[in-house]
Amino acid sequence: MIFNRKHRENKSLDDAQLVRRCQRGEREAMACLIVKYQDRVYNTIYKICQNRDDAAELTQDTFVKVLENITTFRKESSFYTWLFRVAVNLTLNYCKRRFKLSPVSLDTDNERLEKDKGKLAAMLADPKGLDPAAIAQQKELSRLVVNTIGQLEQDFRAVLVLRDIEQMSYAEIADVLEIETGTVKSRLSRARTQLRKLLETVLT
Amino acid sequence: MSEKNKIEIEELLNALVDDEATERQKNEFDRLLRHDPSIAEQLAVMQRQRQILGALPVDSAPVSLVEDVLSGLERKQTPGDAAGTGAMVTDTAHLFLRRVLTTAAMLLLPIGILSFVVYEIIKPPSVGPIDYSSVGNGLARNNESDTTVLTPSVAAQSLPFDGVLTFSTQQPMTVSNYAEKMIYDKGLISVTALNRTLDEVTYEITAPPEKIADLIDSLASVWPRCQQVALSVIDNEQNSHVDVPNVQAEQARTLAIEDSREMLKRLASQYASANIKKENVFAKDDRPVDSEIDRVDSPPLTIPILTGRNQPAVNTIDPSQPTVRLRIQIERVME
Repeated sequence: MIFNRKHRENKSLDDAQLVRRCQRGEREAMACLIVKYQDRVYNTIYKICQNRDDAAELTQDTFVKVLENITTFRKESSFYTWLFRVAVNLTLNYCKRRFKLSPVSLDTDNERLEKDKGKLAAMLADPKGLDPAAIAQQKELSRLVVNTIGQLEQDFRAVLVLRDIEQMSYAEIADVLEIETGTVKSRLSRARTQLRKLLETVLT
Repeated sequence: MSEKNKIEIEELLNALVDDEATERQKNEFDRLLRHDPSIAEQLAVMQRQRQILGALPVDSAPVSLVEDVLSGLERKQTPGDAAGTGAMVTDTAHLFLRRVLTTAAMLLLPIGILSFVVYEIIKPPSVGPIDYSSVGNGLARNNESDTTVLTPSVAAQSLPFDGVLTFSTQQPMTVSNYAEKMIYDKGLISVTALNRTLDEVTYEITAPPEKIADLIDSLASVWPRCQQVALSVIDNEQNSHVDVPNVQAEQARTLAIEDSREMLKRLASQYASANIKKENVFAKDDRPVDSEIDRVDSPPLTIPILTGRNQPAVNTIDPSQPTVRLRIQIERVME
């Protein structure tokens, strides 16, 4: 924790500068980079893979892989999108493997989702509770939303998380996922439509 | 509204929600809004959805993440590598070098093996060292000479005779062919060493005296083909020799079987004195040509002597018997 506090002060340091220092093998710069991005990477991974333990492990793997190969980083894209490309690729690969090993039962998930929706309907009876920020901050509602994101197809989930949670631009998403901007737009549109149908009760 | 229009409107609304709409898209939205006011409500729902997602609580990464990552990096690096990631460049270079060397080894090894196999197939059978020593009384190659010199591997002689019988002839090929045939016929191939040069052929035979005598008898037909036949009797103990010019086959035979050193020396000296006074009777034009020697064209001896390695020699010599040495030299003389 002391480690984190010490390097949090350097959080505002320029990525390019930190990367150069990392390439020289400076461990302090590596710690600064980790502290700077750890929460965002962890959150993105968690929203895609839907499991906190797996997210923690994948976040660690992401930073190890990035720092291990930092000397090969050639600034063709920004460090930020490179970092997230590694994170998302690791996560999507992990999800595919996990799905092959133990397929998720959609029936069970839908059943759980319906139960959450029932609770949510009762909470929404109070008109004061309709403020979106307030909805998001309510523990049960936020869990419902995150679970609903987990119901989306993986490719849609990744685009949605990068845009609506990580707030990336279309171009950055295209860079991270290595797809065309047009593909980003169409995937995002379909992801939001799917999500809206699943969350209809909350949003109307 | 068609499905295509629906998708287009969805993408248009998404662009507006994301604040990435172009001017043309904004105008298009205004036009749609005039025709269908419910579009505004749809946009509001989408904006609300985005707000909810954007306002979801941000979870903190595990507190030990920095330490875990850095220790994970250390584990992956070479033990004792204090330079950390900075040394990765060196590691990469070493890895590249190792890969290059491995690839080279993988390529060169089969090439080497293939070359060896090809060499084994195409190399001439008579070239290169041949180990005759394991044959017992077989032939042993003398590698110290540039020419193909073969020396017998039998035990050192115990009888006194050691002679060099020199045939000087204008028909060295005919004479040597005949001599080879006789050596072969008498079963002396395994105790014979060959030294062949352009102008001279030498057969060095180490065998029991009776065998040598028998061989000399069989060579009697060679004498008329020669301009000169001489025998040099060597005394290895006193490091001296007695030259017997114009030696007859019978004289050579007698000397070969003599078992007394003193007597051998005396006889050789007597023959030498006597022969000097005699007229040279060899190879006179009026002498009949021996028909037997002319019949010898390509005797089979040539091949066993030269290749010898894989062909069992005809060996009728008992290695325990005392032996003598006779060197038969066939040299060319000009007409």
